[in-house]
Amino acid sequence: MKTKQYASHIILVLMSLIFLVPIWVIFASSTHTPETILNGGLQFFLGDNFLDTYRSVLFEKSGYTKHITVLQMIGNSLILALGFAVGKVIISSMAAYAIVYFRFRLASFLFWVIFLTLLLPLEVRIVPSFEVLAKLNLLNSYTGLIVPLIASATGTFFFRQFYKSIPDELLEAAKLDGANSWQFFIDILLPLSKTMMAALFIVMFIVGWNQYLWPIMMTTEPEYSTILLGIKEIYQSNFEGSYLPEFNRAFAMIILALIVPVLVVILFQRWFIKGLVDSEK
Amino acid sequence: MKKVQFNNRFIPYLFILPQISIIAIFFLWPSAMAVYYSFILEDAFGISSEFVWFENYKSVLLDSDYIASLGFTLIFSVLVTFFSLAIGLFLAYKTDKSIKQKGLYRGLFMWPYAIAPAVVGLMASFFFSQSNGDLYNFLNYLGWEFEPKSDPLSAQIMLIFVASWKQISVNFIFFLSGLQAIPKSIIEASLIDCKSSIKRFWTIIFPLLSPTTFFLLITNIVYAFFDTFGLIDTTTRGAPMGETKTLAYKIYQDGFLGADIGGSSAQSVLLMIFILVLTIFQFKYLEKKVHY
Amino acid sequence: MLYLELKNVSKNYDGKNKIIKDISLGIKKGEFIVIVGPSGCGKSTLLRMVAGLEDISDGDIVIDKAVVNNISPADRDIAMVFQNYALYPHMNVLKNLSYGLKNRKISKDEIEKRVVSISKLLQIEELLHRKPSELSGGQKQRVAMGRAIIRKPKLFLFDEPLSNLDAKLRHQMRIEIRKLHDKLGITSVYVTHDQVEAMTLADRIIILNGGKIEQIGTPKEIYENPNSIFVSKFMGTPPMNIIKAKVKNSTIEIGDISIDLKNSYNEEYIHVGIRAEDISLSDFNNSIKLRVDIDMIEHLGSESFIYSTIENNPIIVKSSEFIETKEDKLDIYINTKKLYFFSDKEGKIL
Repeated sequence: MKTKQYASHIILVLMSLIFLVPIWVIFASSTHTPETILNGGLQFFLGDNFLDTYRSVLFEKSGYTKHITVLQMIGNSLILALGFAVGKVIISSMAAYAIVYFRFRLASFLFWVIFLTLLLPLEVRIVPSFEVLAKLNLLNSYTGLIVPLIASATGTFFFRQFYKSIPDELLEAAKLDGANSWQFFIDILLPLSKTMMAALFIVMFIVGWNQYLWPIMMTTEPEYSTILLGIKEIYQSNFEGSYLPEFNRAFAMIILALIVPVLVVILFQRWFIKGLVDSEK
Repeated sequence: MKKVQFNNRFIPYLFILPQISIIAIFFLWPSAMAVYYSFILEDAFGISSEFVWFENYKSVLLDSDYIASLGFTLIFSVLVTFFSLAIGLFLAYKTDKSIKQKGLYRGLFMWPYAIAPAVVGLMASFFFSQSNGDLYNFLNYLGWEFEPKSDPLSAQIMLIFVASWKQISVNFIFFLSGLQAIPKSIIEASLIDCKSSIKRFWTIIFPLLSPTTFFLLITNIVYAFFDTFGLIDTTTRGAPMGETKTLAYKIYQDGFLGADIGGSSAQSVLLMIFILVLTIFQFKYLEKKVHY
Repeated sequence: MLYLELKNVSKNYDGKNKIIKDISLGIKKGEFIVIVGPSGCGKSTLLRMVAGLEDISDGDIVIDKAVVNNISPADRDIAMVFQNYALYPHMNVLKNLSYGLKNRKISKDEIEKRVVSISKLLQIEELLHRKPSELSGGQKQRVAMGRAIIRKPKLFLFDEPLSNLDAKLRHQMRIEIRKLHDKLGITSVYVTHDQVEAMTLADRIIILNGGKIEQIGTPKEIYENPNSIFVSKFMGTPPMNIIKAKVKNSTIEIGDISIDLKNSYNEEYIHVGIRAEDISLSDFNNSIKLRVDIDMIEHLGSESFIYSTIENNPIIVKSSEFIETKEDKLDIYINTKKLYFFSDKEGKIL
């Protein structure tokens, strides 16, 4: 029994190293000078260039056009992630309320319209989406960055599922207590959904932060760059570009791009798991 | 729906309007355009266009490039799904069994979910880089001529490995919560009835997990088809000669970089039909409820 | 003077599937009415129609002289206690009690006054700042009652309010509900599937079966004069013994004895009913002897139940003695004055 347990633990620890070591190596390498990396490859031990690298990456303008600092990119990513998550929570909690709690003529039709959004991910309708944004003059704007992403149905299904689990008697009691549909939503349903909202918010924050293709498509001006756009530029300058790679800066960018969502997942573990598992039912 | 509802002609529309209008503008409109474009042939300069019925579909389906991309996408998604499901389940099962360190292991295997595919891809590019990439050096040291830049097989294997690495955490999270949802009494009953833990796993636990497994199967296929876009864009970009191009990546390359609007729209519609089939299949299957 | 009146009320879904079939009844002010019936008989639906939570397909519901068919639940001036209490989980007891009053724009002073007096009445003063999740089942029950009473409604509706409680608490709450009713005198309609609750709580009982009223009456009337086999078996523990007997020239034969019928009866079979307590193990006036097969004897301490059969008809006998016997046959004596006769086809009293 005992030896079997130890074997299990050894396997689990080794597997977790497969996930941890690459991140560690990237981080450790980011604290070295570019010359060390160029000559010696990726580094396993910490160097002494940490402050220099991260200070210059965060606060000096970089990229092709040298118009934006990574700190500003992180700011843009935050705006995208927060705006996306907040918008998603508000819009889907409202739409689900209409679908679950009202009897109205177009209910099932509109439900299927919302459902339809699951069929066609952004990746496959990217060109026409870009054209629509251009026609509406929304390229290079936060509205254009955030709002189209909110369209999909995941959040609506999430709240629909949750509302359906609330006992019918609660609505009946509220009706007898004289609450109208607006009061029931504000006084009863929203306070009851607090945990679910937080859970969905956490998941959507990460989804928003990690958006890649859409920001690349629809921002051409560097002041709207997100950190993931920075990642794309790093790829281009390191693997396709002709000038000298600045490895330490690239590694620092990787760390900065992943540290925020990873911290969010670890710090809000319970909400995150609830949001992820429940939203997919 | 609910047994008890509100009867109101106006208010429900007020609540559903924000989402429906966003969907109409940013989803239905471009989707309709994609369908429209798939029947249109534009000349190289975009000056004149012509309605060509299924011409675009025909040329897409006859294009050996498209068939190759389809083949790669299928193999890629099957393998990524298999590896990440199997490893995710294995880790979840082991984690669920270790009582004391459950929280620790959960944390250790969960966080990679948060990393964007593009970031994972960029990291992989460094590790597999022929200039001093540790994994590149290691694989070649082992005697395998690993050359992702020039050898298609190397590039494909690298992609499958990296995409699975990224996806294991999602499967792990779902399997772990699926395992925790199995009533303790069932586990205890099986302990009395069956001595072999491997047999217990395959005869009791795995069947009880089947709803989770099925759901994850669909999720992983969708991941391999679409969410790996960023990963490919920061690793091979289809290299060496288009052998690592998924269908979604091809649509982007043809439509956005290659400006073949008609062809890429036709590909979009084909993909849409594929997801539609997948979704119908999912619903049909879920109706049977799989063991519950 | 009728306070709540149902006139030919029906309920169906989509024109078919009739759940409530043409029910008419009247309830006087201050009465405590219990609607009882097996599950699926439509009793909860009927109550929810009175509350306005379900539409009426046909007929009228009149509360205090006003037809309320199209009046919203909130405006009917009724209160309801739900089976699962339906307390708002995110509000503390105080807010749960006052939410309905606030929505009715009642002044803060008045709300406070009522909360104080209600919480005193129900002994929940200490619980006012707790959330429902921090209450025991009995406490939740009290709060749910408080939320209903505080509105001073015209009509008090209970939808199986005690079925989520354990047996001991159910008994205790039953007594409290009746006491409360005696104190406040609010007209009440109480739905349950438990005939003991019906017998102990009601001024009058309505027995519902398959969407129709089977019988209305005081507990005594219902128990002593059931007008169908259904009612006789539904009310009382153990249920009334029913023996199917052959009719021959206005006499019936059970085993080797025969009983004369008062009236002539022209069906082949008749159902004879006798309650367990009207059967004795020793001879007495007006009794006749039956020999039965013993299946099992159950000892409860103060009394024993003998489960027996005669000609495939189960008969339960109640005895205050501790019966011990090795025999498998037994002589029982049934009181011929306490026999009920039901028709074979419809099961109605004769």
